[in-house]
Amino acid sequence: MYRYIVRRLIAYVPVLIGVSLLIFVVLRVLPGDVAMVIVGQGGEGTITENALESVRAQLGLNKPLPLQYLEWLGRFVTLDLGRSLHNGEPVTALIGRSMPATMELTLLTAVMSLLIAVPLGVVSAIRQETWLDYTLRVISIAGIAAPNFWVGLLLILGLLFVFHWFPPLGYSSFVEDPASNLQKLVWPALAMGASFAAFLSRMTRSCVLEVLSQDYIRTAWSKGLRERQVVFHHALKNALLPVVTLLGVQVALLLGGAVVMEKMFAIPGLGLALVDGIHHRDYPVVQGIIVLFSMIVLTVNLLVDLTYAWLDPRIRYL
Amino acid sequence: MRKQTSVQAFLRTAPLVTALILASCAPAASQPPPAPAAPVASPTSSPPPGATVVAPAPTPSPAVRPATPAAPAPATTPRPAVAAETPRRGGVLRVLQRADPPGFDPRQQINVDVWGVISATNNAVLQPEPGNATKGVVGDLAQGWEYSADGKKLTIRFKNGIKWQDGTPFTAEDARYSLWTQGYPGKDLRSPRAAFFENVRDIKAIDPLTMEISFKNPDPVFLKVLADVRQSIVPKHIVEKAGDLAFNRESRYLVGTGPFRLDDYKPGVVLKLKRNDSYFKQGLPYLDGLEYLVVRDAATGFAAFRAGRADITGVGTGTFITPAQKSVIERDLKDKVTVYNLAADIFCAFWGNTAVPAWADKKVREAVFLSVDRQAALQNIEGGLGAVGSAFPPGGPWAMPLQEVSALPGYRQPKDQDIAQAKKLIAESGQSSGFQTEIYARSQAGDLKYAEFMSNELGKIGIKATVRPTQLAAFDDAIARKTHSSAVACGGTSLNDPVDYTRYFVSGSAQNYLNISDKFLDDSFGQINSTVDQSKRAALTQDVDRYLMKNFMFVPIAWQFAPRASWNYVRGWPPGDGHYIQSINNRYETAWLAR
Amino acid sequence: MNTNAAVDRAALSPSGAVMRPLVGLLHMARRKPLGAAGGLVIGLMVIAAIAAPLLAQRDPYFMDHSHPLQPPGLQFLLGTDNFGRDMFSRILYGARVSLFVGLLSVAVGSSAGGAIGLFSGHLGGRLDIVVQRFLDAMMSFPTIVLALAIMVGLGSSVTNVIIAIAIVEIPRVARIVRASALSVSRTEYVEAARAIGAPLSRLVLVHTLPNCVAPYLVYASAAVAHAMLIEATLGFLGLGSPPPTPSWGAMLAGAGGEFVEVAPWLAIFPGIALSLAIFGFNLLGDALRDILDPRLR
Repeated sequence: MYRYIVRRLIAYVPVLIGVSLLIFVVLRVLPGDVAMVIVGQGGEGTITENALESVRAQLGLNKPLPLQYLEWLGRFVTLDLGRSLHNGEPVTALIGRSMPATMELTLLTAVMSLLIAVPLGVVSAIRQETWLDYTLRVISIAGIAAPNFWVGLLLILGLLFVFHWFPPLGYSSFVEDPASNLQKLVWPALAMGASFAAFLSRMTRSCVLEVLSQDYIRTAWSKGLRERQVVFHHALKNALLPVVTLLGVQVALLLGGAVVMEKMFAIPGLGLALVDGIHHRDYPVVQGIIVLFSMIVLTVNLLVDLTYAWLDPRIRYL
Repeated sequence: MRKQTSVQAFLRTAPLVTALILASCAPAASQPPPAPAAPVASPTSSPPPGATVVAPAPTPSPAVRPATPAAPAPATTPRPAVAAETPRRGGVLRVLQRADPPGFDPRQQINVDVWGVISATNNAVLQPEPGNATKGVVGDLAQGWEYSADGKKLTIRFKNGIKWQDGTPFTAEDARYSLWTQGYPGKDLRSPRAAFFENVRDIKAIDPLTMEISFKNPDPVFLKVLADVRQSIVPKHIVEKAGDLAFNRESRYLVGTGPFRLDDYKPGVVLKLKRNDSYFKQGLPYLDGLEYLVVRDAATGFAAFRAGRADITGVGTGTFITPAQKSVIERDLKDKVTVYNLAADIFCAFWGNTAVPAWADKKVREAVFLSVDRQAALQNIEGGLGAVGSAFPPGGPWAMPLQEVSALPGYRQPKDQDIAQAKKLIAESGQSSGFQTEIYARSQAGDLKYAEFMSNELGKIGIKATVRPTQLAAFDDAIARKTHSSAVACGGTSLNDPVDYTRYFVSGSAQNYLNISDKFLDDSFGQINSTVDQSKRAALTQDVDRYLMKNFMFVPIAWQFAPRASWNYVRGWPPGDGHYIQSINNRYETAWLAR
Repeated sequence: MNTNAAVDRAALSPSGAVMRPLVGLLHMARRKPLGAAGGLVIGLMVIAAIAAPLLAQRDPYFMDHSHPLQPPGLQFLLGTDNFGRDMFSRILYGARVSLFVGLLSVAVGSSAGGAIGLFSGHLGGRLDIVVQRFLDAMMSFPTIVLALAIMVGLGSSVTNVIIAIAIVEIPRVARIVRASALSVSRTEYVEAARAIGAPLSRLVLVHTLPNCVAPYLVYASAAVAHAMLIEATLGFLGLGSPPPTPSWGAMLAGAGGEFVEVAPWLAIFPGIALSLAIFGFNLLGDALRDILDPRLR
């Protein structure tokens, strides 16, 4: 077991390095000089070579690229992700204060979606090929089809025209003011949740369907067990296993959705920091956040694999 | 039986979900946006005395196109002030802030998000004259000043009894230090505005209340530099020992002489300032404090303002009141909110790189100049919140007179004749067969809209134009290297002084979009920057304006306003004459709340 | 009297060459109504895209300076945007952009990803493991983040959007194809073929490839939907096709966000078009999967 864990961890590292290198290369190949952004300030400032040089020197942008990458990597290992080129804030601090908002948003979305999607998926599977199934399937595909930013727009429009009320946007800490916090996050969570719930319900449906066609389920029916017992005690647990397996995919989906929702609802989370960083060519911030996203997804995948391996000793593949 | 149990299972989970949603929605849904209390003193709920008000524009009616370029000064005179109300003390003013200030050291910052804070916590040597922001200055820390006869020396006398917020007395040495480190930063500081100080030879603190600045050449503009929040004075005794303050946001380093001081700061959420009880201007400020609410998204910010969660909207691109927002205000908040049309001295223009043969051809430039429908741009992009003008701020001393501007080719309505003429010119110039251009534009909303607009206008005369949205850094880079074929860029002056325009037209400048090297322009700007006599300077800039327009060097499309809105219960703000300069230099020291 | 019989008889007549496939389609449509609905939606979209110049009376790029922000009405079917451009035309032409980007990016991504997956799965061994790791790295990004990063690197243009989305698709296609390739390469007949010395290319093309087609097709229709969604999201974030391209996502961003109160139609109609398009391809993919996946029949 330990050897398996070690093997997986060893495989994890090169993937991370690959990711960071990929991002580093993609970003640095760009034309454009952050010093110019700082001095030129979108057209309002006068750009002189002196001002540019002073900014470049202060930011350490003059060194050769491979050196910059190695330095970044070296610092990364000690958990120093550098400073934002835009406002000098240490990237770890930026991540630290942006993370709660994103985590809360994704968690809220996931919980709300699970509560809606799993029952719907189960019902849809049990009543396969009936009008109920078709309706639910159409709704779930509509949910996937509608882009989350459009659902968000519609939500805002609806609130505006029906209730004459603009939802409170932004973010306030849960610890300090839970009511306000929930009021602000429920809307982007709903908007994102629509498509996520649709995705989950479809997955649940197909997994339940697959399990229900198994022999041991047929045995349970023929033993005369009631539907509730068959579905909940036998089928559901096995059906939900693939859902758990795809946790990594789901986390990736949620993080991606968070990027767009945060921009729309002005939530100061990792997604917004990422988009802003991209616009400002703020390499350390963009690199840090993307590598973090990647780490999150890979870690979840790793944990799922390890859990599987622990539960089922047959699985020891690389 | 099968049906029952599965439906039951479903029903069991449903209430939980609904309960969760309702629980989080319920408190909010029951609150309608709070209406501000009707102001007690004024029966007609008029806007604060001294404010300028724009006559409400017709609701988004598309066909309104003024025949002549509108002057930037608002059309109506201020409503007669209600008999002088006594300012009420107390209360907290909430202002929108579009982003966190990156740091609190004004010498090293360029971000407009900094100035809102610094203008409240610090003072500068001078400040823009209320009611005459573009031309006049009055003392802030300074009591009086004199130029020497040759214009090369400026002596400043400071007021007595000014204290820093930590109790230390203010001296001229603080001012000298602040200014000098901005002009000559050394390698530990970055100074984006070092260019302002190029003409400064030396600064001396002669005694604790007197400072002397000597210039290399006669100085025409330094008073404006001194009267600017970006040249705010910092406390030498704190800053000198503090190390790298570039991105520091700790309150112990933000010590000024101003009416408010930093109380609490939650990055991304709110910045709170509290009253400075020992402010050197007796009796001020009236407010107990200020709160800057950090709201990144423009629509969100406006929504918060509408709901009464903010009293004044923010400064900086992206926070200005948009035409849509203005019509919403007129529709829903007519007597409760005032929109102030502040001239921003920012123009958006089309520039052709003269290295491209087509743009070097005067006929082609004239054709483009003729075909652009400036009034449509003003109406559809700015919603009428702006002005049509020439190369310098319209209606101001530097530009040619408005009647001359409206007589320029291409400025009249309707456009049919102009467009026909333009097509003829294109044909004559030999460029008619499929000339294409790529319009570089910064990928920020305003610039891109103008670029999109220009691609349509160019299309009308047969020039195929595509837009190339370019990230900020890449844009400046492309312009510096002159790799662009054409560009749409908004820019302007932050000092309301022609010295700020030098960078667009002088040979070798990184921001010389036209890629020109013109002797007349180089010489003219040289003179403008070294003549002390302001009326002579104005005559010179007007000549430059005429030269640029008559040769169709570039195409100014529209001059922008920077509208801000405030609820009418906020008084004593702005003490302005409708100019943006007043807005970012506002200390809110005379502001008070009438509710 | 049975309509089926009548239809079948018609199918057997001389004109049956045309009728038979149509009848086949009708049968499938009845069995899989949802898939048929999806196909219908896609068909409409294709017609809209191809016939846009005929259906749209106005140039989608032309700015009518005197009619900005018109609500839907007789003159402008779906209203105009802030520049006075006819929304009906823009949405029709937007179908072109979406289809073009969606189909082409999946095609390019599939070719590259398919090639990678085929050879990696077929050859197996060390190469396969390394490739797998790399694909895992790529797939660990949320797709929009990867697309964003690539777009920032390449700059805004339609070509670059296609490249960015193609790159996002590569690991997914590779994984599907690889899975099929792996299982096929272990079968006895492929072993036999290898034993008698058949060249790799023949093994791949003749044996492996046909078996990958079914799962790939199912994936592809969902992929096109996904590609259209990414294109719209990029447009919404301002990093997609440059203006004035009539991209549905950009329409939602530009006009929808700022003018949401004074001109709600700007937010509603492009969103409906986009959702319908994605809806259609997803439905089709569902139906294909139900038809082609033997286990779920």
